[in-house]
Amino acid sequence: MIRVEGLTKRYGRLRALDGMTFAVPRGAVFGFIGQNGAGKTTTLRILATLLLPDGGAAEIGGYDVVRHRREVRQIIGYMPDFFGVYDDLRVGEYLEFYAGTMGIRGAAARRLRDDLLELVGLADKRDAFVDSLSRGMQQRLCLARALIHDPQVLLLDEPASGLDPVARVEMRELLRELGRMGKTVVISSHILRELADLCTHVGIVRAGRVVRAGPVEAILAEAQTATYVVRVLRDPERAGALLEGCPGVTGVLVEEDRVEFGFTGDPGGAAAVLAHLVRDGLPVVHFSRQAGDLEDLFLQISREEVAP
Amino acid sequence: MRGLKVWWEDLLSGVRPMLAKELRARSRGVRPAALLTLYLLAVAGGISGVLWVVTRFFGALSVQVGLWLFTALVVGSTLLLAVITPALTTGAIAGERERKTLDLLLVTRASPLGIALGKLLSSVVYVLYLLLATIPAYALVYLFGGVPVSYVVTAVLLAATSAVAFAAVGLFFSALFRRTQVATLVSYLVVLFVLFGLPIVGEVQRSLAQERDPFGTRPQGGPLPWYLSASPLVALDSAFQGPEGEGLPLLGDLLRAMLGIGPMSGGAVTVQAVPGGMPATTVYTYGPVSVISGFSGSRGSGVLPLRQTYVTLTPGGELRVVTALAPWVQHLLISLGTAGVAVAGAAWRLGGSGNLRAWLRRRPRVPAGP
Ligand SMILES: Nc1ncnc2c1ncn2[C@@H]1O[C@H](COP(=O)(O)OP(=O)(O)O)[C@@H](O)[C@H]1O
Ligand SMILES: [Mg+2]
Repeated sequence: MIRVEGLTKRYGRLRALDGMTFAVPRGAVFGFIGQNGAGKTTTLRILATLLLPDGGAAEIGGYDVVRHRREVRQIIGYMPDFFGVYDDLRVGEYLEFYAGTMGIRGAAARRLRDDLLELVGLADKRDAFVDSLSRGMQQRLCLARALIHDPQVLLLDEPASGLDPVARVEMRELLRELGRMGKTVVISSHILRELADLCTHVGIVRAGRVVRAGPVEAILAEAQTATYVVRVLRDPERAGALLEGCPGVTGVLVEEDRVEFGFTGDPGGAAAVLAHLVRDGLPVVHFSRQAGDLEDLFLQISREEVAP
Repeated sequence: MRGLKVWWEDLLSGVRPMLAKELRARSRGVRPAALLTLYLLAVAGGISGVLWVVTRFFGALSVQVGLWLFTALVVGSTLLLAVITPALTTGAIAGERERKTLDLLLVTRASPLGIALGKLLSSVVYVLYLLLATIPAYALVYLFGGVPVSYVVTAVLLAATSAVAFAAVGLFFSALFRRTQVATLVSYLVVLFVLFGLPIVGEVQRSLAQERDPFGTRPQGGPLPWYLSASPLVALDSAFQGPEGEGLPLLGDLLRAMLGIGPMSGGAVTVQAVPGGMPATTVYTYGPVSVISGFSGSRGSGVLPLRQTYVTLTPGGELRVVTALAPWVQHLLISLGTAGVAVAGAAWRLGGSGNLRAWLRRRPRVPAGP
């Protein structure tokens, strides 16, 4: 549904995008994850036809985002990371206004307005002024606005940022609902945990390019490589040597009484490694897995040197 | 053909909702009522002041007072509108940018031109509303008489078109600059320049031309430089010249002092008949030379002429007749032209340039649909 190939964008001397490449299949919920300044917003703005790339190409639903802006705008709903609302309008009028800008008027617009307010849980706020809404409500209203022309693709830039925990949960439920509606959704975030169980696919972006991308399961499998830490009372060198010989263990690092290693396998395998150390008479006082999963992988990737 | 239809639909997708929203937002709260009240108070104050001054110091009633009142109304409402209008549009686009709502607007079907036009129209509607509110005041003029209906119509038309031009200029700067404050500042500088600076430029240019041509080798006189008509004050004055070529009281004298136009004491030549069957007209001067006002009879003659006849003095001492569009017609054209260019510029800045580039880059083949 979305294809991005080798996008580049410079701001002066800064390379905001440096060969950004990824693809999002139809119906996927794509988590676009990276630290602040990685280039997520820039990419989404290019996809939303608001910014022209310096190089590369991107298309949505077969339409080029530079050459076919109009067609692209018809099939996308975009929610920026920071946005404002017209504070002198009522919630209902706000949606009717945006319906009008998509060429929807009259009874159709009013029906759509009511349906969407129902969907985002603001039906009882129809006649309230927009600026009286809480931040979370405004965020949901903005999402309703993005849905007004029933787009197939949603581009959501940090939709949960700046929300309190309750509003965050509400937003997640809403995003899940959109996924069930069969829309292709791109959600950017700098917090992986927020997206891990929501997404079908993830792309991890660093310094203007995607460094890992794929279905969540594939990425998770990669994340099976977790870092473990062992502490022994004595003989850390011998522990290190023993670990080197165990299957699935990589990258052993000995620092005083502390031995760190990477391990690929299930928890049963890790238990076997521990048993092996103990059987050999090593006084193990600590054996732990570093807080792991996707988050771990994400941090690890984020710290990696960029390949030349 | 299909492209044109799409273009039109996208234009309407911008104009219609924007107009509705802006008018709705503008009619909310106390601001609009307060502005209207202030405006009418200023107009009423102006009228009372003029009446007081005229009756107190001139003691004249009837026709003269009617004209004085008319002048005060026309000039007053033109100046008031010039002050109010840019304020209505300088926040139009810069404000959307500041409030971070512009991107939400640009990803819709609404074309940049539609958005800009919607913004302009909403303030034009508001300006017309203010202008209509002053029309009852013109009834007072009739109490004293001496001013034909065509004057009032022309005056309102001039005030409206210059307000539209100023609104469009405000809109353009609103699109050009990121901040409303900057847009407001620049717009007011431009408005001030057009109102008061242009006549000065005209005068400077005139004296420079005279200096460069001390022996009078080029034909002298003729119409005022066309760009001077951009100033509504110049246009107003020239539109309402009387049979002796005199302009509006006070304003006319002021402009004449600045531009050196109009009858100079003892310098005016009355031409009885001009070749080409023009009726008897009055010659009045532009600098040392003559301008013929193209309509005859009294101020009560009704319809204002679209073209005006001038007499120029060639170095050989011959009088030559030149006709040109009347300055008030020039003003209408300049104002509407400026408004058009300014709106197009705003649309360009809003994203029209990207749209055009996209359109040019577009491959001829039909894209593979979803
Ligand atoms: N308008 C701009 N002018 C200059 N630099 C910018 C601009 N927008 C973004 N950047 C820079 O480009 C890089 C990528 O930004 P962005 O796409 O916003 O990242 P993200 O959304 O992942 O946090 C950052 O280093 C940012 O400072
Ligand atoms: Mg961002």
